[in-house]
Amino acid sequence: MRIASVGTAYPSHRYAQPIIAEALRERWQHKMEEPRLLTRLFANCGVDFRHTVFPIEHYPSLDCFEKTNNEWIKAAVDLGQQAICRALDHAGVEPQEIGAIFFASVTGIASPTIDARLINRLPFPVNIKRTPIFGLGCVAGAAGISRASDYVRAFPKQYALLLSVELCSLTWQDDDQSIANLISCGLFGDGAAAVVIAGAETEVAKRGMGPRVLDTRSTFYRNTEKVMGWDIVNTGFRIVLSPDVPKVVEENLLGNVEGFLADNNLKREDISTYIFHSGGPKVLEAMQKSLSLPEGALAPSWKSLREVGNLSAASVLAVMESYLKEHPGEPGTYSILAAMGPAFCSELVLLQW
Amino acid sequence: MDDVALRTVEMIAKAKNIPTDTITPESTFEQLGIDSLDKINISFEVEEAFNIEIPDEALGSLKTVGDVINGVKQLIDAKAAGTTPAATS
Repeated sequence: MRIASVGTAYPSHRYAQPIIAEALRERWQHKMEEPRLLTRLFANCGVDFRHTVFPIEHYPSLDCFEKTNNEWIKAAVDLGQQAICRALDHAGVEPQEIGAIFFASVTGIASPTIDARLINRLPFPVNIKRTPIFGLGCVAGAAGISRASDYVRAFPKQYALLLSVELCSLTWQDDDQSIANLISCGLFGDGAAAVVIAGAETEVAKRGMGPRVLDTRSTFYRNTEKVMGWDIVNTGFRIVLSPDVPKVVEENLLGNVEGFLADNNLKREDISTYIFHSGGPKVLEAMQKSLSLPEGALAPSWKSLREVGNLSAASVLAVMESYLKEHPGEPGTYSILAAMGPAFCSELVLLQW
Repeated sequence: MDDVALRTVEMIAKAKNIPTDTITPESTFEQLGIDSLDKINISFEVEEAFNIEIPDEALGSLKTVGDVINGVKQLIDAKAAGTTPAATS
């Protein structure tokens, strides 16, 4: 089975980080003892630009969860469709050929889910198997690839589709000026990504398109539920983000990677590239330090962070897209695709180009 | 250490509740357990103490206590000369 293609889609509104910082500082200055804290945090979270689903001046009008979530549904369907069409187009696969669709998001909720609404827009087969995933957060990009791979391992003649849409700007909380919310508002961006996973006996896989998925590994870290997540409040999703995230990464990632590789008769020296979720400067530094990676080893992840921010589940997929287009591995070389997220937990995917 | 350096070290020591004699210009923030939020809080203290304004984006490039001391001196000099120092922007 192979990662045949990735397609990304971003909202049309794109702002330099200082523009967003200034807009939120102005909006919240009377609620903050030191409003410069916001601009200073925003200027130092590794993000230069972000896309937002609405023009920046529209956000104050989104004053309740009902409004933001309804907007989330509309925009998620539109953006999701764009990402899917791009991924299918890159792979040369038609909607009618998709056997299963996995949809991951943590920035809005819907029933019927976004994947269901897209089946009404695109000619997917009516027997397509749907798996909507809510709550995995940032880890869902990697975990989605793993679950879609599990599916095509069982059905090697089929294609599975993973879609993640994250509209993080619709989770901004007007009544929360905590450090966690300020960092969250400074770090996370809006975007969508879709991935076509081709079963080993499909035409696309036989042509050798994209890297093979050799193995996947989920690891749950017990008793870390306060490290990251949402508190669900009347106004929507309130961020839970502990300063311990980099520590948790440093304590666990190396052991996870080495154990995973050992089970595949590989060592760290065998891995040529690490395709990591762009969690933020501290998370990327912790990943780099934990695995003793040389400077520049995670350059595509840093670049994605600078250009679009942390897209939650869609981030690692956007980084994967850049590897497919700009930095594909030499034939036979190995990569690890990885993300971490609420629980706390990690998901590792072993790839061979 | 001169007056600016001494006062800067004192502010860093106070912010992290650590003895001043454990801090040298070569000390890195990582060694002192100073994270990015600590740096921001220290930057507010330093701004008030020296009556300067540190550009928001400058903090990311500060890795050592010496970097802060040099940056503060440049900003004090620039303020006296009525210019903006390129090195801190």
